[in-house]
Amino acid sequence: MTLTIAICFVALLLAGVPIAALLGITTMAALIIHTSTPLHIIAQQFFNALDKFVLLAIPFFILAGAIMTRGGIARRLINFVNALVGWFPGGLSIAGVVVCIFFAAISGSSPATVVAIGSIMVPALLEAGYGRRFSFGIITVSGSLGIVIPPSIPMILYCLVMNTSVAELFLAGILPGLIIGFSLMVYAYLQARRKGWKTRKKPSLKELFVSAKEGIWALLLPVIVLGGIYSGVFTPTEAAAVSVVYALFVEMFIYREFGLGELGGVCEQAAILSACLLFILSCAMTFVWLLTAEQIPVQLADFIMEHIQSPWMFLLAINLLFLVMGCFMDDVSAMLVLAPLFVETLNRFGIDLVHFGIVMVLNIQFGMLTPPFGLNLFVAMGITRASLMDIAQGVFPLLIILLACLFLVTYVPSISMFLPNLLLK
Amino acid sequence: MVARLSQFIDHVEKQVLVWTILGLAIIGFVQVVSRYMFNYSFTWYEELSRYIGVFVAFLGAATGVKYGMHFSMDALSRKLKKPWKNILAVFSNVICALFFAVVVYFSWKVVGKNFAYETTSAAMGMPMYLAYLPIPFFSLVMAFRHLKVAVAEARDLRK
Repeated sequence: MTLTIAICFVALLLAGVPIAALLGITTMAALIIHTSTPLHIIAQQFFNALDKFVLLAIPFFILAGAIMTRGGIARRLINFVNALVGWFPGGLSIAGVVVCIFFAAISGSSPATVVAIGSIMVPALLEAGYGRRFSFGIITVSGSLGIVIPPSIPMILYCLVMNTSVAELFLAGILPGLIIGFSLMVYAYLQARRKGWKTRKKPSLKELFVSAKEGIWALLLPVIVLGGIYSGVFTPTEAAAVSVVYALFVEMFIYREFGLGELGGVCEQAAILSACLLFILSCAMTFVWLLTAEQIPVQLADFIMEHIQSPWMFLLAINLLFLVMGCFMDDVSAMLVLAPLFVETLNRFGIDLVHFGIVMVLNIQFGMLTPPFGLNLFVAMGITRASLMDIAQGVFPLLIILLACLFLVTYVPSISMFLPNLLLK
Repeated sequence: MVARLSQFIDHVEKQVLVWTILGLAIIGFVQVVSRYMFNYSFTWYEELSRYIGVFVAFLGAATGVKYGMHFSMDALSRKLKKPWKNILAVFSNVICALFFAVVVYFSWKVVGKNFAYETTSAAMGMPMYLAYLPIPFFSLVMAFRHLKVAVAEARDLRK
């Protein structure tokens, strides 16, 4: 059984079959060859996987992100943050990181954050005389915080396959996200000091006030979304619905960036993308059902416990596995397939599923910044019209910082567990 | 005529997808407001949105096949030269088409069962076969589209 699954999986992966269909076909093949289960079960599992209310948060958050990326929220947010911290040494790049953190808190996707912030911030950095590679690197990497700081689409996907609480995982992402953001700011500050990039003059109080008034609509959104979830006013799915309506309201009636007619075009790509994600999820859940029914996670746990004694080594192995897997498939799909395999092992080692979720998300973040599936790199290429080489070289020194943060978060569970323990338990 | 029809379908497909999601979001917002302002919540919203979620996923997946938006690993196929590249593409698309054809058959049976037993949903009393219907329908569309890609690749091979 395990062999059939492995052969089928690898062969179809190499043939370039889409991941979603691949998971469905593998499940079907295993059922036909090794069991007498009627194949109705596949149709039934497709339905059961999608028949969940949390799942709708994914298209909602993706659409809200698309609306804000096209509209004026990002630009006004940038103006405000610039007035706030732009006069520090290296201020414009520090502002870039801070804006990405804010935007990450209103959008759940990291490519969306790179597009929204990068298309304004990168030209601004270049114009102010910051280094080319440095500018590409800092924004591309800060943009990847989009999935670490809540809301986050990979986190919702993780919670669906692992049966954990979205609210808890969201909270757990805040501190790691801020630590990474802070490390990036320190790096930007040191670089700017060393290279002597010029700084802006301090804005007057009046300028600061004006930009704050313009940007207030963007700043309110994270307060509404996260505040709403944690005060129990609404569920994460309803929070996502509220953020869609809020983004529409602000862009259409307050900033007047686009009208009702353009809305279809603005959301088109995002809507298809979000549905494709749901479809992968549905196929992955069917696959996970097969694995669980065949007790494969238990067998895997027996095998792992024989060879690896400490949770410390296990987490190291997981991180290495994901860094390698990232070279063969995109990390979100890898997580959907692999994470459920380890549930039993995690329980035996006593590793919290929420903590493990954050480790997964940081691995995905890393994967989004490294070729060949580094979505953020391609998005950054698109908006800057620079070569992949230029972007990758800019990103490279920052990957070392990210790797350090990944290991810190992996081995100090209290960083991710502090807020959930404080507020939810 | 055929070209215009397919253009029209393209347009309708995308607009329906976008507006279904936006519509659900707007109803979701209204329901949050109504719950807090008027202490009244819609019992049907949660159920309706779950079933529409199934519809959205399958409609969008079918649209995604047309635009090649499904994630796949193309590291190998990108490295291959002309005849092998096409052969691999024909192979993978035919397999997908077969898979979806099988899904159509069995999900149609599930629809039939729900129709025969007249099962209805808990909150809305909606016939359950309607909730399952998007699965066979859009699987059929996906099977057809994968086949179309396979045929195009095979034609390219003969040139």
